[in-house]
Amino acid sequence: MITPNDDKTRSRITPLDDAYRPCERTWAELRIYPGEMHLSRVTELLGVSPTSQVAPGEAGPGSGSGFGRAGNTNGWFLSSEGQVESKDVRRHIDWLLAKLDPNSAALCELQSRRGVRMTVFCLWCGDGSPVLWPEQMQGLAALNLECSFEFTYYPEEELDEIVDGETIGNLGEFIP
Amino acid sequence: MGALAGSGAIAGGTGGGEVGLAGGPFAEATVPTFSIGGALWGAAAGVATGLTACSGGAASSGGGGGGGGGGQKPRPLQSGNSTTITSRTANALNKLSGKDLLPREWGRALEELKRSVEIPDNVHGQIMDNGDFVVNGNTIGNIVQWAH
Repeated sequence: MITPNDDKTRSRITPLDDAYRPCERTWAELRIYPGEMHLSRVTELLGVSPTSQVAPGEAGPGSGSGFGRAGNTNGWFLSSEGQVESKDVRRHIDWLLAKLDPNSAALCELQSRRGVRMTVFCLWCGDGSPVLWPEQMQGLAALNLECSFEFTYYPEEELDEIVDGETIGNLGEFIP
Repeated sequence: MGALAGSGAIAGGTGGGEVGLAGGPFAEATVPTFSIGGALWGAAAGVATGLTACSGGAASSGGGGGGGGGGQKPRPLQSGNSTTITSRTANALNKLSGKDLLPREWGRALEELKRSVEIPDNVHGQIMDNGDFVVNGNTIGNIVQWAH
């Protein structure tokens, strides 16, 4: 367990910052595509329930605009979105690692099965940039997990509510 | 794994907020694997073959074919490495779908679409004016399906 005052962190430039203002939102998600394996088997092996999943086939009414939403492949997802209140992606990856740690052997065994693929996907929406500490890199490496980042940026100006040429507010302030 | 950082920022604790398997938007199913051409993401491309028919049918059945309908070949609204939805793309998708979503909300729809298929994150595609998300010529899905 690393804390900000730990000797190990003294040389590091970027302290943990749960309220990192440039970041609008961030999360980390383990994505497992288990091929032919039933999704419930993944849950059973890992000892943790997914936060969402997809499976092929028609799936409900979709958006109601005539486009029917359908899953394309088996997908088992464990996301920190809504689980971790932080704009520091290190917290989100730590959460994932903590969830997976009790059954790390099962995760590695799952990786050895034919047709099973997985990745840790991180979203970074906003300005600034994410930072990883050795603890996250070490944890991911121990679980043989690749890690990818997707960056999106929506300038606040886009959310300005303009009436008669004057900005009266910004919708971004009302986005949770 | 004993060196995990503190978890003081975790909300809900372990297990909090997780959804049940039966209550999710998709039914569980075991499916055969698909492959086309042995590409790294062959499974996704193979499935996309079926989805092309699915989304194409939706568009042609009056479900919001929009710019891509009417027999016109779909044209790209946005392409390149950025996954940030531009205002122009959002406006076109709103017109297509009859929705009134912000660019960032269409961005969330794209996030969901992309996670529903197994493609590497360093593969980027095009959003077409009929809502299709196309990667290397294969229709992976339709972004309108994933808009809330």
